[in-house]
Amino acid sequence: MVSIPCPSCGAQVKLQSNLSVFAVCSYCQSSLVRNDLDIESLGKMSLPLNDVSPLQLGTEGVYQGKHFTLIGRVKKKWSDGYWNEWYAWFDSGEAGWIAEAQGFYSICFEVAHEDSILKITNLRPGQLYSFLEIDFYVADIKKNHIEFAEGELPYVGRAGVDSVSIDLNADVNQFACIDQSEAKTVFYRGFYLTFPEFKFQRLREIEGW
Amino acid sequence: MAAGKLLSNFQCPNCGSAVSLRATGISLSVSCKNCRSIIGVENENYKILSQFEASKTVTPLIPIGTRGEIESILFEVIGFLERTDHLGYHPWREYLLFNPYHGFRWLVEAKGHWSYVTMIKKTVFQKNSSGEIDYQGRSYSLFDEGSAKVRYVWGEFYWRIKRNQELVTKDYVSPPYMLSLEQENSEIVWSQAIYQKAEFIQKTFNIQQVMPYSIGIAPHQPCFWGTVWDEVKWVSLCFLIVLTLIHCFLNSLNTQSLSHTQSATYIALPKGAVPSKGAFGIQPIREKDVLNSEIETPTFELKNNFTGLEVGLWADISNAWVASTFELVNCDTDETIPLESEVANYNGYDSDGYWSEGSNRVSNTISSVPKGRYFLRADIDADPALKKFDYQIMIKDGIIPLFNLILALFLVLCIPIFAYWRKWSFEVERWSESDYSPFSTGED
Repeated sequence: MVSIPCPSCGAQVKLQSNLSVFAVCSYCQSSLVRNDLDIESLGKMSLPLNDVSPLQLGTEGVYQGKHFTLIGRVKKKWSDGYWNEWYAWFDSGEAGWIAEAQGFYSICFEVAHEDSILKITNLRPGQLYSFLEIDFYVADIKKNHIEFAEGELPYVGRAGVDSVSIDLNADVNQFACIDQSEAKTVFYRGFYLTFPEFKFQRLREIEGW
Repeated sequence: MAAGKLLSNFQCPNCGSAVSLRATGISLSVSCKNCRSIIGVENENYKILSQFEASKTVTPLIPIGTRGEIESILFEVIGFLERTDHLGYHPWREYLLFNPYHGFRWLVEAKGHWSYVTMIKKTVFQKNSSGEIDYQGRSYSLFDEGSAKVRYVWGEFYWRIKRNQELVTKDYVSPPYMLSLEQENSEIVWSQAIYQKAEFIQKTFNIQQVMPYSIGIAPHQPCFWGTVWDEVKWVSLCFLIVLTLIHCFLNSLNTQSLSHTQSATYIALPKGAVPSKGAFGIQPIREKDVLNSEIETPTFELKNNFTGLEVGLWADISNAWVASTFELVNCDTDETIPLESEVANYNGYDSDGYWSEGSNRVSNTISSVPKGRYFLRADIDADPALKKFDYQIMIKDGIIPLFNLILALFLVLCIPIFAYWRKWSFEVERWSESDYSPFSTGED
């Protein structure tokens, strides 16, 4: 764990993961970017209204017997709503992402894979796309941008950054995602799981439930 | 972090009446109870998406806001849809269930039959060799292909309700499950339904009204007799094998202590030639003018208690019949057991050549004879055309009658046979609603 001083308010911002390059100061909500030793403030980010997720920073869970804690989140907006991507930090030092949308939960991990930008751009729903020896089918393609970020992240979660998110499904609840932004194309792979399977703890309270 | 708040209220941008949201921040559209407008609620800039001009008001059986627990998850009804096929002949009703932690489920009611539905995050199903699709170890058969459109809306939804939105649908069944596909352009959504009993739904959601009367058999309704059949078929087969083995075992265990054959010649005398009593040193003739029509075996002992006694009759005849009335007499108690036997043997030539029917020999078994000393008396009656023939009576003990086995087998098999018959009629009725019935001849 490392601590960095917030350039805006001076509070110590603690980072759990040494992979994190982005953090939001929990005192003044300033977004901070860590470039080697420099810390730059990107300004404040406000929590959107009507943001109701059962997960929150500090929520703990288990995947394949390994314990993790949610240490960051990006809320992404597309034409028909929102979804959340939670940055999950495992005790073992690994990091993954838990996507949460309309009561569906998936976990995925970044995988090393490359393909031509043109091929990825030309993918359409229903199309077969095999990578790393698994046949995936394109489920949907969503243009999106970051609406909000909190906690710490392995990339700069600047609000308004556009990207295209391609969700792929396969047999036995397998899940993959290709995140294509101006900067780079990143491949993720994982599984859909049900809410109880994560054995979540320290969930957010929801009034009336 | 502060507790999340899901309830909120706003004013309908069309009519100004209060509209409440139960999944604020999650729902994308809601209907105004007053003016039937569909309002987009993805942000605070509420916009009218469309107007439903329903000719009649459909009141959901389960009111919006009702909570109930299914599979130990508490759900709240937040939306209601009435949908139909594209002709509008077959409406069905869908209730959207919501839990902020577990997400969304559906409760579907069609013709009084209920289903609990979960969306599946899977886009492609592989067909197996018989054209069925496999999912989680079950094979699903195509039941129906059609289309669906929304006819009536109430409450809120996590997508934008569109007017006149028509979807292509496909249903595959493996009772009590059904896999359904809904397709709009390139977007495919699969869901899995589980059949639910109406009483369970009524209890879970505390429904006071009379539940809709269920009509016919639902595509994925489980068949009670099918379950019985599945459970008894192997057990019955085991019984069948065991019973046959017991029969063979008992047969081998019973020692055959007796095997006796007795021969005689039957002679019909010309009318009036009644011999004087005892003239031939044999038994006298009674009313009929016949010699040797009645014979008796020597006394014999049956050593096996309640064994079967096989009584055989053989007669050297052709194109005639011979009948015998037997009496098995217990020497100690004078109790008698009667038995009737008949042999008939006919043969000849016709345009097809030689033919024959019947036999010269017949065997019958007297079952469960107590052990003791017995003799057998036979009274022979014959075709009047017969003047003279040889015949034999045979007795054999230690027989386990096949009849016992057949009766036992019948008793064992009547449950599976009945279950199979009921299952079969149930399946025929179920599939009579489908264009893909495995029972249809393919002509219609």
